Amino acid sequence: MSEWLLVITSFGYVGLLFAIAYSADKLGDTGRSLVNNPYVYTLSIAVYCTAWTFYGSVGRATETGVSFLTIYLGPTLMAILWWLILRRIIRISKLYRITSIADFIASRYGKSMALGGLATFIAVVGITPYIALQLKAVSDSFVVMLSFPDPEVATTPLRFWDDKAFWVAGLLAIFAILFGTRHIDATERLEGMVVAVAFESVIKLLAFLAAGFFVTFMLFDGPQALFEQAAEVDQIRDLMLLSSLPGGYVNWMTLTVLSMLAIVFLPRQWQVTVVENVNEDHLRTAAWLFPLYLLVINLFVLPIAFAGMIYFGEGTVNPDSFVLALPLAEGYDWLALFIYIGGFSAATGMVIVATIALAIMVSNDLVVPALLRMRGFQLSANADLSRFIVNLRRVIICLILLLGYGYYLLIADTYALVSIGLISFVAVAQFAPPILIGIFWKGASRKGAMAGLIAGFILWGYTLLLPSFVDAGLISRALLEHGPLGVGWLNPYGLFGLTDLDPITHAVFWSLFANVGLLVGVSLFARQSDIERIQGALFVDVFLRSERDTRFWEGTATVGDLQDLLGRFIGQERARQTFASYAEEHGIALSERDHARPELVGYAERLLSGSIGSASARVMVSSIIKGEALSFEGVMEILDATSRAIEYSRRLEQKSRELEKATDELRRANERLKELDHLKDEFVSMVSHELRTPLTSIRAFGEILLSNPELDAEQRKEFLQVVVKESERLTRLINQVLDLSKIESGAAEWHLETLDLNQVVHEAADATRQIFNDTRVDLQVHLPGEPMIIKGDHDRLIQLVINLLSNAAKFTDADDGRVDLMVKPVDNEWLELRVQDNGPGISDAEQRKIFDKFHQVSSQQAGKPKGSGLGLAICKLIMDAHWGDIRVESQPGEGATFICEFPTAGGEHCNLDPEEKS
Amino acid sequence: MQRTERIVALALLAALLFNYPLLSLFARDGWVFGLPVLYVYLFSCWLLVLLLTGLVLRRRRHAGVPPRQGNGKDSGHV
Repeated sequence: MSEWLLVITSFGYVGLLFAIAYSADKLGDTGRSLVNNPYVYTLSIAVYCTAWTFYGSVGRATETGVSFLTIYLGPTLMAILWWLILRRIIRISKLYRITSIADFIASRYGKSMALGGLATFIAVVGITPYIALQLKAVSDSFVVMLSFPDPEVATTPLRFWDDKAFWVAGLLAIFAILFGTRHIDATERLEGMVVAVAFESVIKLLAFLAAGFFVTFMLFDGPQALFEQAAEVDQIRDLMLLSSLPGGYVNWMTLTVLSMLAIVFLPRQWQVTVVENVNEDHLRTAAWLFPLYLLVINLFVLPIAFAGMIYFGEGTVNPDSFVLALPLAEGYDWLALFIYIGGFSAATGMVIVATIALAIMVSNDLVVPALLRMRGFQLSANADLSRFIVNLRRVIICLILLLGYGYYLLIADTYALVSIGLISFVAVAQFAPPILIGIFWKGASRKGAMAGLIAGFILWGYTLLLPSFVDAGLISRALLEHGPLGVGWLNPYGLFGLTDLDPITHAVFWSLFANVGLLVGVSLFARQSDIERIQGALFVDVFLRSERDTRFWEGTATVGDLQDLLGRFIGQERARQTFASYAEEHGIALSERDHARPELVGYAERLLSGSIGSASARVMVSSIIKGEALSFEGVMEILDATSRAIEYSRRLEQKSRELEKATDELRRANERLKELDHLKDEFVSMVSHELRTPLTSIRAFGEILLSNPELDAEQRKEFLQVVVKESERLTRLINQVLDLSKIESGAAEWHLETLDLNQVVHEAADATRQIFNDTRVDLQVHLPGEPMIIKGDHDRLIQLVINLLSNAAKFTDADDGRVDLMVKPVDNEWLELRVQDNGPGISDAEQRKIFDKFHQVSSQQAGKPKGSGLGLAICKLIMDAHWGDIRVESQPGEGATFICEFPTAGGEHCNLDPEEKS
Repeated sequence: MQRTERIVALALLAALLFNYPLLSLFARDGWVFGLPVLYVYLFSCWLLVLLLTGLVLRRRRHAGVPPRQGNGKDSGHV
């Protein structure tokens, strides 16, 4: 393939990245952020898959079979725990504006400059080989694309300007500078970088899948056929088991644990998962989607490795480049070019993020603190340092890439990709003890963390980094065979005679053993300073406290001094704006001469932390504060008072809610009572009224009789008849009132039995025969032949029918009046009783009210009311108690029909106690 | 909070599935669907574990209880 095509494609791809990052930044500036999205977040975490995954896994698989998977199973295990561990770290980092691993460690252990510097140093030394690995992969893949199948070995060119790796490093430096140093405040998101990295994750996945499909389905006839063919080769057959795993299950477990730690503590992973996290909830998606990404990208590693071994045989082609060599050998140059771009994106994504993360660390936790220590530097007050710091980071980015390139020139050629990566993994694993123990144990102390980190780092350097120089030929091989100066127990691969383990397990064991041991051991005996205890409490209890209660400063500074200080690092204009918006938000006026309130000092310190790291920020703030920081007890008192106040107000709130509920219930009960009271008043006044009418007439006639003894017998008799009739009416009325109140109060005794409605109707008709005879109204009873069985109270039902019949008799004309009484079934479950008359009928308006108490139908024809107004109300109550219903159908002038519907006995409608109905 | 317990249980399960001695049961000659048994075992456990992770972390909707409610002590455990 022509060199120019490759160069143009590579550079064109980086150009595309520039365009993507640029538009993402532009979109972010206008508020349409692309990164507030769990999928972009997940894809950016996939920066974990570097050239190591893309090329190295296949190479590794040809040597040790499935053991390459440990590097991806570890992150899967860790992803389960993210919700418990990473969420805590994210919350802490956001609250205290922590921007890197080094800053996190420094901040946790009392904002210690020394610890931050040490962590930064470890990160740079540890990650440099990893960056070199990516450059090597890009360079190797370039050579393969250029010269395959010529057996030209990738050699380092004599002049660096001929080396593509150098130019790639330069291009990436420009990218990192443009999109990684837009803001001085490192807590501001690098949206362009994140989106570009997410895009690269898509490309590398597609490219690797394309390679896998090509090899599995085009070169071979599907995975089964491929594995079957592979099983015929003894050497490959072994790779399908675990027998070819050096170090066996111990090595397997070590690599799993190592990659569990790497997914959290690699600086680039920290950058994308913690610093660039927009929303903690995105972890819910990432925790399963990221492992799925890893699973998919690893599906074809083994098939490609076996296919390469079958296809090329042993020793002719470097297994690390099988992914490219297979399509090239088959003449699929364009496919190979796409796969090459995938590998290129895997490498560049890692380099970009790692470089930016390291640059922030180096500037905030190494260079700025060192500069602040220099007296002269501090005195040049009022100088605008924000520009300086941004430029500083740019220089650091270049230096880091140069360092990576240098390591690549020096050593990378002698190592396989995975071995280099593992060296870095062990280095960053040293961050795990101070962070993991530090966020769960308040007692972890600065001295302990310091001792642990130093020891772990030294042991890592001695057992892994130093031997890599031996392999590169810089140090005599005798070191690894006989130990330094022939002292066998100091052998880097067999420290203290521990020679059973493979080099990685050996290094992991000793370094983490020393690290954890010293951290815990020293912490148990060292005294913590106030600031350490404060920070420890804040970190461990991060979920218990609110953001606003971090006040540590008791001394005084003026608002003007504070704003000037901030302005030196983030720009005067921005500092002024920040203070103005703070004042607005808190509803206070800030005047330059005022003493700054402790909250404002804390706020300014956090802002500074984002720009120059927590340790430097503390030093800078303390330089303008007159007085001193609060003691541990002082801070704790404030914090406890705050949490007590929060607790108290929460309880108060709960109480008031309960009170409100009770009040509500009371109010409702009161309303109901008022309503009942009103009804009772109405009832009493109606009853009194009804009673007064007959009483008045009785009294009037009584008085006439008394005062007129000369009345003739005929008239006397007539008057006495009126008195008797009115008395009867009075009695009836009182009986009905008593009945009604008995039924309503539920005190009426119901004797429910299964009975034949026909029988009841018959009895009632007989009882009212006299009335009908008197009024000469014709009563016709129509009963069906079969019994109508219902469940009910015999006497009440008779009362019901009598009420209806006497009502009908009352409202029909004598002589030509006619009343029809029928009983008939409606369906299986219901039957009805109808009382039909040919009286004047009932108007629509009246129909609605006739079942109300004391409602009397008044009509011209009827003249004065004929009933008590209680008869139908009682009927309604009786029907209610029988689970039935009563209604009236009528047209004025055409008579009225009262219809009672009963459920048949045994049906589902009449299983209740009648009392429950009321 | 129950979620914390589920997470820890799932992590332990996954750690057991991916390590000795369970792993050794499948590190043997044999074929499933024409694929090496170890290969199939690892990938299917992987899929299972990540599905369970998604299930455990899924946002739960309690009727009547707003998601943000709950005191600080509870959220301190997760």
